[in-house]
Amino acid sequence: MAWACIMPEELSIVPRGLVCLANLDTRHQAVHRSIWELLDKERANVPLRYRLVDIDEQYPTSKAKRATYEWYVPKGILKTSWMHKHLHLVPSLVVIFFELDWNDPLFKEKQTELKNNIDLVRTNLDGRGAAISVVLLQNKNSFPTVDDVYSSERDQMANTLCTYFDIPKRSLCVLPVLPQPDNLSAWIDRLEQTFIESSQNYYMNEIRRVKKHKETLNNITHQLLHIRHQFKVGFFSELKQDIPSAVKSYKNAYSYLIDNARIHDTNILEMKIIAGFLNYKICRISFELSQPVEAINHFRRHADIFKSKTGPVDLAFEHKAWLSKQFQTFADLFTRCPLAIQTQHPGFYYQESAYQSMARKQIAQTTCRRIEPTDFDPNEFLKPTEFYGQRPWRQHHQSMEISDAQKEREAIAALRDAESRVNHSELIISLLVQAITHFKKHSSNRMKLYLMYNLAEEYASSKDYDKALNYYNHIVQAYRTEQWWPILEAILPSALKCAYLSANLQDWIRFSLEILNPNIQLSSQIKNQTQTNLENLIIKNLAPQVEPTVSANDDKWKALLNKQPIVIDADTFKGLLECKVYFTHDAVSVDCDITLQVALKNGFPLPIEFDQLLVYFNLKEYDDLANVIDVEKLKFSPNEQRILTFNFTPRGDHVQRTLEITSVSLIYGKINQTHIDFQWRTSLQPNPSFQQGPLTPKWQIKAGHILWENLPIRRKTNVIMRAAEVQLTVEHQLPVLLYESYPIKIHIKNCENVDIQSAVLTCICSNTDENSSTSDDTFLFYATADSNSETTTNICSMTFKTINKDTEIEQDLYIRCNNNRSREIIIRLSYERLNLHCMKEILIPLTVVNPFSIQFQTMGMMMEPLASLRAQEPFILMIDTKCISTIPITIVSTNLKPSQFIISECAIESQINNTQLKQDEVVTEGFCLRTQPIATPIVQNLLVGEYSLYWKRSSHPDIPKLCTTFSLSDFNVEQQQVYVEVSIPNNVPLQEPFQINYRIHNRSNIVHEYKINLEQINLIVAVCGSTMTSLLVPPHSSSDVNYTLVATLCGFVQLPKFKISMIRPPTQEIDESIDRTLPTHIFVVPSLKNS
Amino acid sequence: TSVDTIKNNEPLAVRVMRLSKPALYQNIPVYGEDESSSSVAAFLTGQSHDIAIGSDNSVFSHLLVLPYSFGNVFLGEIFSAIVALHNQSDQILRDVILKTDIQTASQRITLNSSDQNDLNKIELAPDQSISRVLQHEVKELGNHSLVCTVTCIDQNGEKCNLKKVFKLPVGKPIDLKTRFISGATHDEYYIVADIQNQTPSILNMTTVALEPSTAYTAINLSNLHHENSENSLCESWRFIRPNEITTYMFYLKARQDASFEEIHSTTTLGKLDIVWMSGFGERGRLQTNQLPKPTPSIATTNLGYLPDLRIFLMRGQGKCHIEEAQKFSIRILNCTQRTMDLSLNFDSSFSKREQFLWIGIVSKQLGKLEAHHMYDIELELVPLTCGLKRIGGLKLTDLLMRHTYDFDDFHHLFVLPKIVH
Amino acid sequence: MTSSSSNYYFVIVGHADQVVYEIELGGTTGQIAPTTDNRHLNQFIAHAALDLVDEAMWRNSTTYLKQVDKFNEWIVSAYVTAGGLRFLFLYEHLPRTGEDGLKNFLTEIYETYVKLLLNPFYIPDKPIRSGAFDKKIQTIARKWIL
Repeated sequence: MAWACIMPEELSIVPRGLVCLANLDTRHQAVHRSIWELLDKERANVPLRYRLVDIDEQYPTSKAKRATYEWYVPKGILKTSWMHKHLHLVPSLVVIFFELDWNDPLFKEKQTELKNNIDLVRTNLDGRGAAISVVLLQNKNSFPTVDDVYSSERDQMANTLCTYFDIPKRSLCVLPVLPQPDNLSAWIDRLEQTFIESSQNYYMNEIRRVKKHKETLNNITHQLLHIRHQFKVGFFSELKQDIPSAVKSYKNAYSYLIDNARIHDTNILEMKIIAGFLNYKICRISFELSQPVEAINHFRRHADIFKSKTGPVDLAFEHKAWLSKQFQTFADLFTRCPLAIQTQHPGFYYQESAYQSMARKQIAQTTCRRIEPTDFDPNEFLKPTEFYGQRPWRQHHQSMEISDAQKEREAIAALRDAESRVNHSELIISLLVQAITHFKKHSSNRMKLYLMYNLAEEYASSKDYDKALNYYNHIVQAYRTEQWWPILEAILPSALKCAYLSANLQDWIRFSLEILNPNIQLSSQIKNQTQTNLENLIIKNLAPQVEPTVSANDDKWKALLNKQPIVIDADTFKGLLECKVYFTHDAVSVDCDITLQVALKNGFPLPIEFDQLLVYFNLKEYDDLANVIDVEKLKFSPNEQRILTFNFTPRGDHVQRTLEITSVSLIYGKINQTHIDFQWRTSLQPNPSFQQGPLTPKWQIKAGHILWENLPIRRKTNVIMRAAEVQLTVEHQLPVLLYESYPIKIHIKNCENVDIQSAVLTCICSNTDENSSTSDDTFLFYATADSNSETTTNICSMTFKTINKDTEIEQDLYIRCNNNRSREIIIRLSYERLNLHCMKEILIPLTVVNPFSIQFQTMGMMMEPLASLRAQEPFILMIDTKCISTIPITIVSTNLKPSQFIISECAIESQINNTQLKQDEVVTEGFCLRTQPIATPIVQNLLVGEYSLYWKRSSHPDIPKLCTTFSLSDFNVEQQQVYVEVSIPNNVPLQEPFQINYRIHNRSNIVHEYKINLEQINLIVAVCGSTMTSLLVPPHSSSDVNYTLVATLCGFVQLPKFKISMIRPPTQEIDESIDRTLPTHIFVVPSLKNS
Repeated sequence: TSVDTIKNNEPLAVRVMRLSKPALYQNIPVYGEDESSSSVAAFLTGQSHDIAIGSDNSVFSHLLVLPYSFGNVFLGEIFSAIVALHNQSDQILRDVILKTDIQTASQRITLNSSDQNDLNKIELAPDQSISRVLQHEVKELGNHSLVCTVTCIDQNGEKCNLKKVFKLPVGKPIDLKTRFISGATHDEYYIVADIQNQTPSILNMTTVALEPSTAYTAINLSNLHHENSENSLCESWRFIRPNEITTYMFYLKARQDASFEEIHSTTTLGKLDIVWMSGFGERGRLQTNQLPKPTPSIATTNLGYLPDLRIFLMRGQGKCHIEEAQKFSIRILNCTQRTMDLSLNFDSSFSKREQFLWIGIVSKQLGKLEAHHMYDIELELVPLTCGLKRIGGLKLTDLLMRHTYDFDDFHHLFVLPKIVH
Repeated sequence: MTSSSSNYYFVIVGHADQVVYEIELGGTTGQIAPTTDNRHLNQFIAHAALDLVDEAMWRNSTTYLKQVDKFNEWIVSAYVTAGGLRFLFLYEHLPRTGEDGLKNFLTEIYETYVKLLLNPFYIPDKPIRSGAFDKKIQTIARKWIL
């Protein structure tokens, strides 16, 4: 069939070398069947295709090969039968299976039979170069596996057989698989290897043969042959599994076609089809080789080149069909490639394919019509051709001229007739659906929307209105949410038409309302008509009037017009109808009225009259209290806005409950008829505006014009108790200090005109930060004696029996806060009066601060700061306590409790008892401690101990002291290998000998040897002792070096420099920081002279 | 170890071998790490030089150490060697005479002259050898040579001579460096002696003493600290390992009863006497020359060297409280050969700087002071601030010579704050 | 899709993906082109290109994103402001001033937009209905697209 968008199946089959298997009786012989099944099985990367044939199978005859092409004019490029022939019919190898044992008693007879078989096959191949292989199926028991004597004998027999059969030795195979095969698949794998070799050999010869023609071709008459030969070489290379050569040949053919071939109206179809084939092959191979960029580039070039090659104008649809098919097949290929990305994926190609098909459809609808069957037989012009892409009525025609104009006209009419029978919509829809799938997969949702619009239009044009409506609903909603009004203006009329035609009342009303939205700038005529239609439908029960171009659908509409409430989510129709609700007060005392205002704004282009307004609350008791059924109040002219006010009384049992509007319903149409129920829910929430509200110029309100935007929204109000006539005041001094019992004095004065009986004072801590609802971090109590009892909680209350009229009473309250979050304390006095619950409440915001901060610092014995402690060496711990709050505090005492890792050098006593600290004042304590030996070279986060401060607020000395404990942790301890402990007097008298003792501790596990040198650096101090010596110190032990010194000058005198270095182990060195722990000077005091 | 200087064409071969006693390996005792690592095997393979030491706390181990090389001869040691003569010719040599001498830089000492007569003119048959043992106590430093001279008469009656020289450097067993540190007052010295062991074995210093010259007394300060040393296993200061240094210190001051002239005429302080034992207890002894009295330099002493006048603090507190009057007794000594007429003044800027106040005598005519006579005066001051103060600022004017002597400081006073009760 | 050649369409898209401002610019005169019949098609293309703009703005560190999408003959270039506003420019052929001209055009519009933001009566993200703004845009267009 000469159809433009043909893609023959043979083209998409992956070419594999054809091997015919003869003499396999798969039906009756289990072993034969197993062999066949193993070979035929679907396997990855098998280069061969197998076919079962009878021994007397006839193979396609080979034409006599042309010796020269000199006078040969080719009739076309590629025969339609060629690919099929080489894929399925012409074998590269024929394998003859035969059961023959070496020791078969009838060996001679069977040998002859086999020879006959081979000859038969050879005759049937008729000059084709296919090889013949013989597979001998033998009994595995007669097959000695290791016996060399037999094997050489067998070799000889095999040689004899080969000579006899006239086949090469490698074509004879032996398969010892009878009667029951073991490990058959291994045998088959080996067998297949020989098949592959023979098969590829055959194709190699074919390629050589085709290539040989090339020299004899000329460029003028043999253009088609150039293309044909390259195509064939490519195809044979594919069969041979030589993919690089194949792609090279296809590319050669393609570029020859593009660059050299003459393309004109008579052969353009053939050229395009072949170019399409070549492009398909090149792209498919590129994708298979994971080179998608290569494929895409080739395809783009292909599309660019041929987009403009329209061919005859009369057959323009044919070009579009061809283009569409090109894009589609490429997209199909691309789909199989996993390397697609957002900007480059098959969706684009399906989309383009769909657009080409849409263009084709347009052309077809305008130019193609059916023909009368009597005129001529159109099938004459649609029959299959010998070559791809040729016209059936002028096959093999290679001239640029059209010989028979009449025939040509008939042919075009016939083709147009065929085109007019094509269901284009189906084609387009399937392409669009595929494109949508890909755009969705690559997260291009908005592109998808556009395609869905195309799809909806296509469905509508194919009269599948329900499906179209489905898509319209989706896209209208999406574009409205993003407020792309002009798009909606384009879509909505079609959508409305569609809804009308499918008689979908819900959608029709919905689309009508969409059109009536003031943002949609359709002509006022359309808008008015739409509203009139709507009014007619709802109020007068009349079917909508439509444009004359649309076929009337009144019957269906008549059937629809029974009562049916249509609920419209008015939140989404912003602009058409808007509603705001506002409780005038945040909280309403139970003895007062609740005032609710409902504001409505109309955006309908024509005046409109609603039937009812209903307001629904979370408390059902109020549901009827804010309804309007008076139609007069619900008449709106265009752009009118109106505020309706409702007053009602809260119910006594709703004290401390929240009244909340859940929804507002505006009914259009009679309630028992078809009516529209506009419902607002979410838009009643105040806008969570992330930007500051607009500036409201006051003059606009003064002019009596209220800006809708400025109307407030409040949908909740609280019902609260009657206010009590008492004065409630507190006296306290902020801030609250962490952990302290914070004193508050509460004053209550009775201002009622009677005595108050049984008043309850309740104090509650409410968390300012609602997220952390840990209730156990604040404790309230009325007396400090309670402060440690278990009953203290975050709420406490007490009852006053009588508070006399005009008297004032006082009550202390203490609050302890366990973290420094800020919080509020509610102090509430409540009592019964006039049978009403009265209440007075005050809120005290508390800020909690840390009273002091602690800093600690560690130093070595020479007061040098230590980054990390050294195990077993003494250090000084300095603790600074700084008052950081504005409240003066008194440090009663302190306590340092060393942990088990610490040895204290002396008794630990508090050094800062009873100290008062004002803001920014600091007290310091110092302790000399020593760490215990540690097991590892470095211990991190060692706990040194706990430091407790006993303190109180200075202004309230009667409150018990508080204990705040700090954990002194996060110390790093290092084990030094060497430590030098120096004993030296604090000061020495002039000229009196004194001693320095250097005790060298070896804290490693090995013996150390040190070199020690006491370097005299002045002539003021005289020294004796071993000034240069070595010292062996056993592990975990110490040795002493002693020196006697005499100073001859008063004041700070520099001592000789003590130097220690490691002799053994020689790899180690002594940390230089050890120098800093050694004393460098000594104070020499004058001595008494009394001679 | 042998030294061989034979030439094959000589009829006689002379060989000398040093005679040494084998030694035991020695070390200052330590406790071993553990059995394996401190074993002899580890020692021998060079992995360790700790040797398990017997429980006798001796510095000797049970290991024999082969003698040191020929070259190491130290002063004070006795050098022993065997000299062998060998007739390597095929003829009888007659009248063989071996003379051995030690040649030092200054003298030549003939060894074994005692048995010279017996060996005179001996006869040596082919392949016959004689040997002789030599001993010499090394008393001199520097290069020594052992000179062996052989004369003989061969069969042909020709006289042949052979002279062999063996080099023998003699080193110091110890290296001694002395330093002088002046004391706080005149004629007080601290002598510090660094003794470095130059021998390859541990030296046991049995005596390191200073014999003062007549005008001085000496106190050995070296072993004060050993009384309370914890490490009682051995007195490490007494043992000096090879190349290590031990410092000894002596305090010297003028004898109480020595006269001024006596002290000032003495130019030496004394001499060091050092006795040690090494190896198997061989004694070595070294005595230094008289150590000369150091010339005091301004930099090393507070008081300077004043040839004319000296003042001594005779009595005075080292510490006192603030604003407490302090009395000092000062002796002024005329060191010249003439009579002086002195008047005393105070340098007010000095006392202002040091913030004390002289009270009592602030200006005084001291009158005549005969040569080498002295004069005692009492001074009194009140310190005004705390801390260490230099006491000085005296001006003594010799009215006869119209010369003023400044005494910047002669004492220090450590002023403590007043204790308030 | 039929459209007269060398027509340009410019749109500012707000934070909620809504159109804040749009204008069609005739290629030759810089006037508002009268071809309102395909206005919604321009919008379709601009809207569909937002997917790719949103993707591209995270991959580029510059505000001017160059060509982000191609829809048939229409090419879409984009400019993303610091505040996350998206400027889309649709064209068939690059203006005569080329890629740089386009970049300058969009940058100058951004400057103009920033000036507009300073107006206290203009609420960000609301449609721009200012004749002065229109004029300014046309002036800029003439400057760079002519």
